[in-house]
Amino acid sequence: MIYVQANGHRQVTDIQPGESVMSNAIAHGIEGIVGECGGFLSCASCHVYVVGTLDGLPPLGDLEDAMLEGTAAPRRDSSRLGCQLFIEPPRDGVEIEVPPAQ
Amino acid sequence: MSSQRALVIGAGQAGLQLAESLRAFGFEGSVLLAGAEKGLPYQRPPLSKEFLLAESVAPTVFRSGEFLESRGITLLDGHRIVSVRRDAGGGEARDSTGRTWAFTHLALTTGACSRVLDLPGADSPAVHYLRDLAHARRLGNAARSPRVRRVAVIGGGFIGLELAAAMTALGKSVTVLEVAKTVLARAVDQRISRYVEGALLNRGIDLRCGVQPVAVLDSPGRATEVLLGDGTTVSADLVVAGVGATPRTEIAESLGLACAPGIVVDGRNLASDNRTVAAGDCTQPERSLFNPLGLRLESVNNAVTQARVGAATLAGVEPPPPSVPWFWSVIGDIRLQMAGMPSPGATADVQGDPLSGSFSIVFHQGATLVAVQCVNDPARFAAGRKAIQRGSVIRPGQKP
Ligand SMILES: Cc1cc2nc3c(=O)[nH]c(=O)nc-3n(C[C@H](O)[C@H](O)[C@H](O)COP(=O)(O)OP(=O)(O)OC[C@H]3O[C@@H](n4cnc5c(N)ncnc54)[C@H](O)[C@@H]3O)c2cc1C
Ligand code: FES
Repeated sequence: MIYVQANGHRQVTDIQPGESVMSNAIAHGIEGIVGECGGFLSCASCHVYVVGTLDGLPPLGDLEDAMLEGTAAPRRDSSRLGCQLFIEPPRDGVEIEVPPAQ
Repeated sequence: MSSQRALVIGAGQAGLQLAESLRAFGFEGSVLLAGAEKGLPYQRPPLSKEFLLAESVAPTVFRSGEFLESRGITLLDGHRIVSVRRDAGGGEARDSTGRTWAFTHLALTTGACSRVLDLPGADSPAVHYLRDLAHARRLGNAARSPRVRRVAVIGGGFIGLELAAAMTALGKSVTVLEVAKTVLARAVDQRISRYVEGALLNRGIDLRCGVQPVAVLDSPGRATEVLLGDGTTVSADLVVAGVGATPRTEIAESLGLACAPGIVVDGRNLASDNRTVAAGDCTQPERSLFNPLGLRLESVNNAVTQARVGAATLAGVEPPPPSVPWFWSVIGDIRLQMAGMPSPGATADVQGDPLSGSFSIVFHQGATLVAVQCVNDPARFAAGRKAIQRGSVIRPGQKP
């Protein structure tokens, strides 16, 4: 995984199958991805922007779609909740932009 | 190297956040995080939800050991602090092995413990509580045994109801015993209580409100019985009590800090000695903009928010701005999300259709939205939380 902060700072991590982007970011201490509810789809503090195509990622769920309306940073077409993003090869090098606020 | 050393006592949600935020706010000294439990800090919410259903006994940890190391946070897991002495420069804490730890800055994040049933026979081994991983493992093992068919849950609060739903998912026949007239009585609007009751009944749960457990009867070779005030009994192979939590304040009290019943803290999370900070379930907050009644909020969000403020106070930086308190609970397939605090004079209106299984109660004080309580209604929750935060800016000269 590649995480890019608003200031351009990049961090690269390994992600395991079955591990969400939120869990991966928390375990590696990526600033700006909070995950307050621990993945219960209740807080939207794991908001991320996916860089590039959304192809090959799990589809956007209804609950996720609704929670994305409440993010602290503006929602974009590339917005997802990190706790719902399970990344499988070949997308495991996907680049994630960290929003300026959660 | 700075000669400062912060000691954070209690390595739960608030303690870990406080230690991390000290670093984020530029605290340069060493940071010791002492926790009575063994292992890395973990999340409690899953314990009453999917943890019980899974065979896996691994907790959901927040951070890896390497991460803590990389932030210069020393985790002393399995170290219960038994006494603390204060002096002009800071003080010294002693752990259960007799080792002492000097500090210049002190934070108390000791959490809470399950309130114990005050009933004859309540010390029966059939009676369980749920606060930590050890409890959850013991309860999970007992519940997965095929010999356990009937479960009695004492207490119709969030944890009791989450547990009751999880137990039905394990195929148990479940009775819930609640003293008040409705479940979740103090926590949510009564229309939500009624909705939740209906959903629990549909799940096959035997729900009894307005009943008073008076004793737990255990006789060898027979099922445990919970005796009720009206003389009837409820038989169960396993009893779980979810009757609230009591803040852990032994250390605070030994330091002479005001407790009522949690450690009394001000808006900067300072205790009454004006130098120890406290955060999370162990505290009693003062009245504030988003918590006008100064209620004890036992939630993840409260632990995280207070810990950030407490860390800013110890680090000597400006605290983060106030934010709307929020809470969630998952009771079977009911997802509850609440934000803000209804004030006593607030109006409460339904939005959405309770019959559809997705609705919210919205609370207004005058024209201002002050709280939302949402049932399977994440869109209204998300919008409501934002609106409450926006609407409640403190105007100059205005007292919260
Ligand atoms: C089963 C369960 C389900 C929950 N579900 C939800 C939910 O869905 N949503 C939500 O918002 N909240 C939920 N909560 C509440 C939330 O988990 C708590 O509010 C939060 O954990 C409080 O954090 P804390 O750090 O203050 O206390 P804790 O997490 O309890 O941590 C305190 C720690 O301090 C340690 N400690 C105490 N005394 C000492 C000492 N003298 N020396 C060393 N260590 C000490 C304890 O062992 C403990 O590990 C739930 C709680 C439980 C128990
Ligand atoms: S972690 Fe809370 S919604 Fe993703």
